[in-house]
Order: sequence, then structure tokens, then C-alpha cells
Amino acid sequence: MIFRTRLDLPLDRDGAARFLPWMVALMVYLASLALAGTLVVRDAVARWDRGLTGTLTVELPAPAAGRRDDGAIDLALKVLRGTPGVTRADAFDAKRIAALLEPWLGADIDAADLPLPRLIDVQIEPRAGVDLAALGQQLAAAVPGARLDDHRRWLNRVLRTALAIEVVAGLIVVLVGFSAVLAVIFATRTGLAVHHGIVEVLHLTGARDGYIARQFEWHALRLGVKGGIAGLVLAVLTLAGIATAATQVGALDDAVRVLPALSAPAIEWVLLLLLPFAAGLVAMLTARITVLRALKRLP
Amino acid sequence: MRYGAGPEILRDITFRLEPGSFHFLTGSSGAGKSSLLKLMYLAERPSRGLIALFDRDIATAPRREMPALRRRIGVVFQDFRLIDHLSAFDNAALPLRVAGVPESQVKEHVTELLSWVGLGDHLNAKPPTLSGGQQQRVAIARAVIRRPSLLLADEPTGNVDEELALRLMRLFEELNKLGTTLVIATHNRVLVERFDHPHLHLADGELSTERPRKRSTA
Repeated sequence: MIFRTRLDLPLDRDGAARFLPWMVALMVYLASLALAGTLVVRDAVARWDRGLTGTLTVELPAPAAGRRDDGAIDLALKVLRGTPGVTRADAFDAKRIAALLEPWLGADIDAADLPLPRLIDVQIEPRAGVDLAALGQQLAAAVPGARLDDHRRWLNRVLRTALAIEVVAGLIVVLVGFSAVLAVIFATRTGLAVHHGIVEVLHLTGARDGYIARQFEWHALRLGVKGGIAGLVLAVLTLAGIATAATQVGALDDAVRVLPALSAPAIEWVLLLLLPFAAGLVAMLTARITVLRALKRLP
Repeated sequence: MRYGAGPEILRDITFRLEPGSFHFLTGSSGAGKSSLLKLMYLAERPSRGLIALFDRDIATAPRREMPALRRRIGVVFQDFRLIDHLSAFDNAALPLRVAGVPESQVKEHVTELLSWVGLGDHLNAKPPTLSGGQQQRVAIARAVIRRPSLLLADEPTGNVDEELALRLMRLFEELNKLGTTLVIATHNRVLVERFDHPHLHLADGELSTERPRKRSTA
């Protein structure tokens, strides 16, 4: 008798008890997808960032017409290899350049015959604090027209796009949360109106506002977590579906694969699992505040 | 007092209930009996005037003190106001649970009291399955379970036969002897005549006190 759950208010039988979990499920579903999208983007950007940090490309202008080699590569390599912090500097050989051009020009091209800019792949120790601006100037002095590309510009643009995606996703989560709060307020007010008689009896029997609010808040917590788990399960199924489809089609390249991101035990993914409980907590607090405010009107 | 912007239902009423007193509250329907009781069980606040309960001025008492005051008052509502989805036991146990009384004590007290009012076999019955008289007894059990300092009853014997009415009145007198102050609103002239208690008479929103014809000297 002591351990059975007993509610003075028959909230379980309300219409709200049926519709609220579905509302919460839908909202947690949307929020999960938005958050998962953010995490995938963030993960991809982090991998690009890691992959590109410490990687530089030096671009030398094409040799003057008719000359196969003007010694520019050797000059540039000398500058690079003489710079502390540079761990490796290799010119792209003809084979590698041909491989890069093959998709456009076909396999039977002698790259050496074309006036192509020449590329040097440079690896630096990221923590050595190589002064890239100075290095760029040194290179330009040694080989007029030489350009140092640290991929920052490109990466910054990607980062800005990623940030925009994150802001939109965050906005979706906030809006979804806001709608959830409104739904809980509506359901709680309906419950208060439907059970007005019982609430009044409890009030007149000397129940403190907190006692009455507790009944609503536990109920809201249960419905919120229930709906939240359903929404999260649906979201995980959806993500798994997308990942499987993407792997089969091979549509997404290495950097934006969803599955590795999903399987990575990153803290963020754990946070995603907490979403149903966050939903329950929000529902609980909202119900509590709604009831306490309504009860203030009783003498 | 008045409801909203309506006319004043009760006005210029002054009375004092001595602790441990027993009063009937009489008056034709619509005279304001229920409104007066509502003021006394703190369901309404007066639009003007002063009400002191247990030497506490209700008008100035902060809201957070109200639950403690209400717990010293037992109310038998005219329409019982039992909670339909709770058993007779849970209904009668409500004031104890609301006050956080340990469940072992709740079980003991409630079972004993419900048995005493003749509902020992109906502890788990839901109010809709009980007769009017049985519901009334659950309502009375709920009102007295906490041994209130003040018991207010609105037509508590309206739905029961005469024998049970007398039995309930004896329960009220028993409580009164233990120190509970009682106010019983009733239409039942027979009851009022039969029991030797002063009564407050409401007519046109005004109150007069009538002493019993034969004063008890005991």
C-alpha cells in the first residue's frame, strides 16, 4: 500500500496524458536531428581542420615559355628546407600532377609540356610557430610570383558555413523547446481546469501549493521522458537509415560520413542521449511554475 | 462579503465563537449560510471587515500561513466533494497525507474511524459506488480525521435517516467534548430542537444569535 504510486488527481486519464507524449516525441525528434546535424558538421570540420593544420602548399608560377625548368623549384625548396619548423617539403612530381589532371585532361598527357604552375607540398610542425607571412615573403623574394597557401582562407569559409548551420540548428532547438513549453503550459492549465474541484478540495484541506504542484510536475516529468525517449529512438533510427543509405550510395565522401560520427563516443553524442531527460525536466519545471502561478489566485 | 461586483451577501455580521462551543447555523436557503461558512473555512476572503481565526487576523495573515490554519479546520461540504477516483480510505486519509503524516499512522487512524462510522467493509469502495448516506459519512470522516480545532458542517445530516443522523450528531458532540468548536449549518428544525445548543440565525444577510430555550446547566 505504501509503495504504490497514488495521485490525488486522476491526471493519467486526461486527454493531455495521451497527446503530450506525442508532442514531446515529435519535438525531441526534431531537436535530435538538428543537434545530430550540428554534430556531424562540427565533426567534419574538425577533421578537415586537423588534416589541414600543418599542411601548406607552395605554388610557383609556370616556367617561361619554352623552358622546362628554371630552377625555381630548387630555390623554393632550399628556402623551405632552411626554415626551422618545416618537417618536409616535396615538389609534386610529374606523375602526381598528371594524376591530378587526369579527370580533366585524360591519361595521355605529359604534364611537363603544359605551362602549369608547380606545386610543393609542405609539412610544418604546428607547434613550432612558423611565421607564415615571413616565409611567404622569403619565397616571393627567391622565386618571383611564388605563393604560400595555408588553406586558411578556404577553411575559414567552411567554418563560417558550419557556424551558420550550427546557429540555425540551435535556433530550431530553441523554437522546439519553446513550443514544448507552450504545450506543457496548455496541458497543465487544462488539467487544472478539469480537476478544479479536486484541486480546491486539496487546497481547502490544507495542502500547500507545492503538494498540489508536485502531482502535476511528476506527471509532466513522466510524460516528457516517455515522449522524449520515443522521439530519440525515432531520431536514431532516422540517422541510422541516412547513414546506411549514404554508405550504400557512396554519396558522401570521407569527410562527411555520418556513421563514423555516430559511432564516435564523443561527449556530444552522450548529451544527445540526455535529450529525453532534458525534455522531461523542462516539462516538469514548466508544470510546476504553471500550477504555482494558478494557485496563487486561490485565497 | 460579496462575490465579484455583486451585492453584499453578508454584512454587519459580528460574532465570536468561544473555543469549544457548539452552534447551529440556521436560515432559509440563500440566506448566506454557505457564504458564511466559506469565510470561516478560508475559501473566500471578506471584501471588508475583520475575521480572526484562532486569534489570527485573516485579512493580514500572509498566504503561506493559510495551509496551517486550514489544517485546524475540518469541513463537511454540503455536496461532500469526495474525490471519485480515490477509495473511501484514500478520501478520508487525504487531510493526513496532505499534512505529511506517516503512512502507518494514516492506515491505523483511517481504518479505525471508517469502521466507527460503519464503513469498515467499504474501505476500498469508490464514492460513486456508495450510497448518499455512505458518501456523507466518508465526507464526515475526512473532516474529523485530523481532530480539527474547528469543525464546520454544511447540512451534514441531510442525506441520512434519522437514526444515523442522531449517531452522527453524537459523534459531533463527542468531538465537541474533546475540545473541537463546532458550527453545523442545517435546515433540520427537529435536530436543532432536539440538541441543546445555541444557534446563529441568518436572515437577509444579517445574523442574530438565539440561545436555546432550556439552558443546560451541566
